[in-house]
Amino acid sequence: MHMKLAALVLLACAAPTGAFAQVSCPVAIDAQACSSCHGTDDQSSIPRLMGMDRDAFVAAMEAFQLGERDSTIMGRLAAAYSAEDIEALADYFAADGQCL
Amino acid sequence: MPMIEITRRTAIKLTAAALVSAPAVLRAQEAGRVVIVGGGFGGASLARRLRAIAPDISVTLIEKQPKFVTCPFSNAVLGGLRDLASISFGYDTLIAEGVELIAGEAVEIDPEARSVTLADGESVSYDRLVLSPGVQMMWDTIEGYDAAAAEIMPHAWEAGPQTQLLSNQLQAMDDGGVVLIASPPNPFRCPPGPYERASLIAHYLSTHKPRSKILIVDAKDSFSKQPQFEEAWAELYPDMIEWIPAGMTGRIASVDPQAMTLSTDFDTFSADVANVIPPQKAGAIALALGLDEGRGYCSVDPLTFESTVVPNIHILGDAAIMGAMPKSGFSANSQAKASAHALVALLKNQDIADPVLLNTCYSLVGPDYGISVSGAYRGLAEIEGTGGASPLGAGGEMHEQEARDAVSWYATITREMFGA
Repeated sequence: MHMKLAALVLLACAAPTGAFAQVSCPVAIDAQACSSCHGTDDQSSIPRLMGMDRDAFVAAMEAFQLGERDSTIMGRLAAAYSAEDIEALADYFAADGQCL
Repeated sequence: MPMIEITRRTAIKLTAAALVSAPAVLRAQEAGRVVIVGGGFGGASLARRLRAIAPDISVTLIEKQPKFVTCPFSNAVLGGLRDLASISFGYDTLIAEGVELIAGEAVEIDPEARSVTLADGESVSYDRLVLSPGVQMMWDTIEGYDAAAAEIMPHAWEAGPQTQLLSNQLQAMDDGGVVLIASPPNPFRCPPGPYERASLIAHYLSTHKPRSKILIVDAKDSFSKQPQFEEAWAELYPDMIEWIPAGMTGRIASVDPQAMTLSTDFDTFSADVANVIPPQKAGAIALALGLDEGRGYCSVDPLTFESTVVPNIHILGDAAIMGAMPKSGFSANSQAKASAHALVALLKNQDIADPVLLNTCYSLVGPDYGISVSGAYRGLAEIEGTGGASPLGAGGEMHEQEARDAVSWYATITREMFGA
């Protein structure tokens, strides 16, 4: 029993932490590029993305891509992302930066 | 969820391994040591990002200055909109987060021993070395323009004392004076920078010394966001800024700091304040070991930022050749975040990602008038449809929004780099 416990403790130590898990989560690497403008808190006048409603994010990005929403730069930058990328980013931001 | 069964023998082995390695784990962060040279937009961003995503990797930052003064918004100091303290940042947050800060200058790299030597002789070993030294001025490529001349005709292309010097000169100048800005050839740090500078100096002059003129003598025949700048100048500062392209005046050949003149192939210009921004190349440490192959900037793998010349050395920001990405603080920050993940992947044998890199260069033409150019990149190429600048004829509201965004971006990115 003690042996089993020791082994479990070792496994727990070896298990990835939340932050470490992001390394193998490609969407997190894409998402971090957004934060230099959008920030991760509410201090930015540029809208915060962390915690944003999933559908609202997808709708906004699609509207930027189609030129249906006025913007300064997002109308162009949105073209970098496929529909799949946008879904993944939407999930990531809606989950407050957790990889699902 | 089923409990994982471990045989008695395996458990003993694991326990023994744990006992042997435990002190090492406590003492050192075992997954590797990353040493970063340069604590600016590339280096500081990378150091914090690495600590956040991989606490088991040790991070050492070598930086000679106690505070980093940003080039972004240094033109706002010249325009009288900010002071130098508001664009200066220290490393306390990085240190608190576990970054080992070494105050010193890296002068030599031994790629076999994987160590970097500082000016004071100390040497620091690395598993991966990241160079993010920015640019250095190329003295004497304009005849007579050396470090001493820059004390009379400041470049102010490294923010700090040079910015203060130019600011003091502008404030001491009489109304009706001529401010000359010599703009460098490509590639150089911050392509819209000289023109934002002309704009914000024009803001200051039109407020305080309205009979003055600004003369931009350019080593190029076109520049970043040129139609947007020219549209704004006509509206905000009519007849104050004159741009003289290389095609009209020829090469920028020489300066005479005593006479306060600058000569091109065809003309000699007199100035009351002369801001001479000379040609640039990568910071000295990035030219070690032939990392730049004689080109002045360093070729890198665009996914890992590893030098194509020397393994285990990575180069970020202005010093790197990153294809379509301009040399900007925003680019360096974006590259730093991607490189953090690449470094972790390399040290832990994981897959390398191919993320989207971003750049946006905001320029303030006036306190409430912003313009921008932006692009998204994969590898060395701009992603189709993502590049471009603010639309022409956009109207005041759009430019007010971009000015607000510029200020907001600056607050956000500097908070991201240096903490609150």
